Amino acid sequence: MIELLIALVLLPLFPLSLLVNAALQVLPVWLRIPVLLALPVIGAVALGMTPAPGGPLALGLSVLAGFTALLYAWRLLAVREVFIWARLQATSAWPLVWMAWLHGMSPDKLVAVALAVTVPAAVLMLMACALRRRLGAAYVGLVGRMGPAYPRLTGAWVVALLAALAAPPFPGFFALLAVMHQISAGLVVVVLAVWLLWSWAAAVLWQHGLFGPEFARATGTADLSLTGSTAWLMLAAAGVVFGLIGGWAWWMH
Amino acid sequence: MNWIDLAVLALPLLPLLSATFVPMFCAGHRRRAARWSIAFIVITLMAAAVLLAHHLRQGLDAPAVFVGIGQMGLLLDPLSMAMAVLVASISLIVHVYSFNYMAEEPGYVRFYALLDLMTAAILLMISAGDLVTLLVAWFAVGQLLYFLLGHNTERPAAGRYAFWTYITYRLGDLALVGAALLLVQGYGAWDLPTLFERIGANPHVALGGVAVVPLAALLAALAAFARSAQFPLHTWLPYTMDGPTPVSALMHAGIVNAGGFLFNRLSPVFIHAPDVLHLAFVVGLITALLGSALMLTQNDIKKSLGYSTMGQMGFMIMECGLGAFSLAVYHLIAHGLFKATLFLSSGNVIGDTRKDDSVPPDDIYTFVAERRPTRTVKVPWLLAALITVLVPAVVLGLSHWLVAANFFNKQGAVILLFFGWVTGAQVFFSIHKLPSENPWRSLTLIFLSFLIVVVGYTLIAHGFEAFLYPNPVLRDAGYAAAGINLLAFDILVVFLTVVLVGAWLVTFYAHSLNLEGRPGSLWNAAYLNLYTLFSREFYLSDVYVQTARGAVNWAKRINVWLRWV
Repeated sequence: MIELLIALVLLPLFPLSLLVNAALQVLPVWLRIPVLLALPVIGAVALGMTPAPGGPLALGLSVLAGFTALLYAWRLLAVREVFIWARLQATSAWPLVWMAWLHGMSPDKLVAVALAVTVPAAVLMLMACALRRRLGAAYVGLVGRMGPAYPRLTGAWVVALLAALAAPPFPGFFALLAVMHQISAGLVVVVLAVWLLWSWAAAVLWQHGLFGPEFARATGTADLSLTGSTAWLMLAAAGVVFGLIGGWAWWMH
Repeated sequence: MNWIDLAVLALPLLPLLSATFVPMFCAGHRRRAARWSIAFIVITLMAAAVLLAHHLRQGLDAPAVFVGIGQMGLLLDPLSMAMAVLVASISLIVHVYSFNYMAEEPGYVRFYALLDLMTAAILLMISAGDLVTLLVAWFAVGQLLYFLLGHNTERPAAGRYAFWTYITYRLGDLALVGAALLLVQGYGAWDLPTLFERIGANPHVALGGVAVVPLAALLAALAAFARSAQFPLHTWLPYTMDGPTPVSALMHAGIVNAGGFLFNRLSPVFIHAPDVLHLAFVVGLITALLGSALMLTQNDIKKSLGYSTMGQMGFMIMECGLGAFSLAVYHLIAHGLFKATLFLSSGNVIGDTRKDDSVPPDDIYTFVAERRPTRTVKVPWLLAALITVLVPAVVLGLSHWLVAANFFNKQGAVILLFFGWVTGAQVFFSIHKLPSENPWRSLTLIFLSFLIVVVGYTLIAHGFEAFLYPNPVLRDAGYAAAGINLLAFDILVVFLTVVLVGAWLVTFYAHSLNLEGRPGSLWNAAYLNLYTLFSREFYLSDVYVQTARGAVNWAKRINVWLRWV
C-alpha cells in the first residue's frame, strides 16, 4: 500500500498532478530536469512492487488515468512556452504507466515505458533552457521563425518534439504500442486520442516556431556549436537505436 | 543472405543512406549534394527494376519472399515490386526536376535530404513485411510530408496547410494502429504472411464478442480514406499547393495513392469484410462525384487540380470497394504518372509564359492571320452516339470471349466497365462539342481515346490482375466479397446511369436552358445557394477550423483556471 501511495505522488494522477506541476514550476531550472526524470522512474518501480488491484479500485484508477492523460494532452494545445509544454506533456504521458500496470505489465517494462515517455520531455526542458538563453524566454512564436537565426538549435528542437510526440522510430512510439497491446480496448481509444492531441500540440508549436517572419539573431548569442550539435545528434541517434532495439525485443516476445 | 535479400534491403536503405550522407558531407556544396542524392536514387531504381525483371523471368507464379529476422522483415511480392519501380521512378523524376527548379530556394540540401527520407519511408511502407514496420513507415510518410510541404518557411500559409495534412494523416495513422493491434490480438502474429495464413484458415475470430477481421478492416479502410483524401477527410488536399511544385508532384503522384496500396496490401483481410468493401465503394463514389463537381466550380486552378486528384482517388477507392484491388494499383500507377507530368510541366508552363506570351510580335500576323475566321465543322452527333453504344457492347463481348467466360457474373467488372463507358463517353461528347477544321481527324482521335479507356478497364486490367494476384482464388474472392444481390445491383446501375446521364445533360445544356432562372426568383436563389455551397466546398473546412479553434480556446481557459499547472 505504501508503494501505491508513493506511486500516486511520483506518477501523479489528477488532482495530485497539479501539486507536482506546481512544484516543478517553482524549482530552479537546473533541478527540474533530474526531478522530471527521477519521478516517473521511482514511481514505476514502486508500482512494479505492488500487485495490480482488481474490481472497483482498478476501474476507478483506469478512469482517473484516462481522464488525466486526456486533460493534460488537451491543455497542451494552448501552450507555447516550452518549459510548461514539456511538463504538461510528461504529466499526460505518465498515466499510461498506470494503465499498463493495471493490465499486468511486468515491472521492468513499466520502467522502460516511463523512461521512453519522459526522457523526451526532459530533453525538451534542456531545449527550453537553450531557447531562453538566446531569446530571453522559451516562448515559441514571439519573434518569428527561428530557423534562419539558429538553424542547428531549431533542428534539435524539431527532433526533440518528434521524440516527445512518440513519432517512430523514437522509443516513445514502441512504448505506446507496447502499452496499447497490454490494455483494454476502451483505454486503447483513450491512448489513441491522447496521441492525436500530442501530435496536434507539437504541430502547433512547429507552426509558431518554424514559420513566420525572419528575425535577426540577438547580439551576443550564437547558434548551437558544432560540438553541441554533434552531441544532440548522438543523443537522437541513441534514442532511435534504443527505440529500435527495445521495440524489436518487445515484439519478438 | 543472397543477392535478392540484399536488393530488397537496399530499396529503403539506399535513400536512407543518401539522406544521412548528403547533409553530413555535402552541406556546403549544394549542387554536389543534389548529384549524390540523384545517384543514390538511380541505384535504388536499378535495384527495383532488377528485382522486377528477375520476378518476371521466374514466372508469375513465383512465391513471395520474406526477408527478415523472426517476425520483422520486408516482403517482396508483385505488389511491392510494381510499387517500388513506380515510387523510385517518380522520386528520380522529382529529384532531377528539383535540381534546377529548387536551385534558388533556401534549404536546398535539406530539401534533398527530406526527399531522400520520404523515398526511403515510402519504399519501406510498400515493402513492409510486418505490421510494426508498416506502421513505422506509414507514420513516417505523414511526418515527412509535413516538413516537405512546409519547406518554404517564409509563408505561414504553407505551414498552416501542411498542418491540416499532418493532422488528417495522423487521424488515419491512429486508425491503422487500432487495426494492427486488433489483428495481432486476434491472430497472434505481426508478420503479414503468417497473419494472412491464419486469417484464411479462420476468418471468424472474435475478441469480447466482436469479430476481429471486419473491425480491423474498417479501421484500415479509415486509414486509407484519410491518406487518399476521401470525403469527409479530403479538405487538406486542395490546399497543399503552397508546398514546392516537386513536392506537389510527389504527393499527388505517389503519397496520396497510399490508400489504394493499403487496400491491396491488406486484401486478404478485406475479402472477409464485405460490408467494409461496400462502404469503400460508397465513400469512393461520393468522393469521385464531389471531387469532380468541386473541381468544376473552383476559380483557382491549383485548387481545381487538387480536387481533380480527389476525384481520381475516389475512383481508386471505389475500385477497391468493387473487389478490383489490382485495378486500383493500375489506376494509381496511371494517375501517378500523368499527375506527376502535369505538375512538373506546370512549372515549365509558368516559366515559358513569363518568357513568351505566345502572341506573335508581327503586326501583320496579329491583324491579318490571327483574325482570319476558320471554317469549323462538328463531328456528326449521330455517329458519336452510335460509337458510344457500340464500343462497350463489342468490348463486353470480347471480354466474355478473351478474358473470362463468367465476365458477366462479376458485378465489380461490370460496374468498372460501366464507369469506363461513362468516362469515355463523357470525353467523347465533350470533344464532339468542340468545333474543328478537320472533324474526321478529331473523330479518329476521340474514338481511339474512348477505345483505350474502355479497353483499359477490361483487358489491360485483367493482365495486370494476373500479375499482382497470380492466385485465382484470392482474385475471385475480392469480387465475390464485393458482390451484392442482383436486384440491388440492377437498381444501383440504373440509379448511377440516371444520375450521371442527368449530370451530363445539365452540364452540357446549362447555358441554353438558362438554369440560373430569372434574377430575384426563388429558383435563382436556390441555384445561387447551391453554387455557393459548392464553391465554398460545403463549408467543411470552416466547420473543422471552428471546431479546432473552439477546442484550443477552451484549453486556454482551462489552463488559466488551473494556473498552468
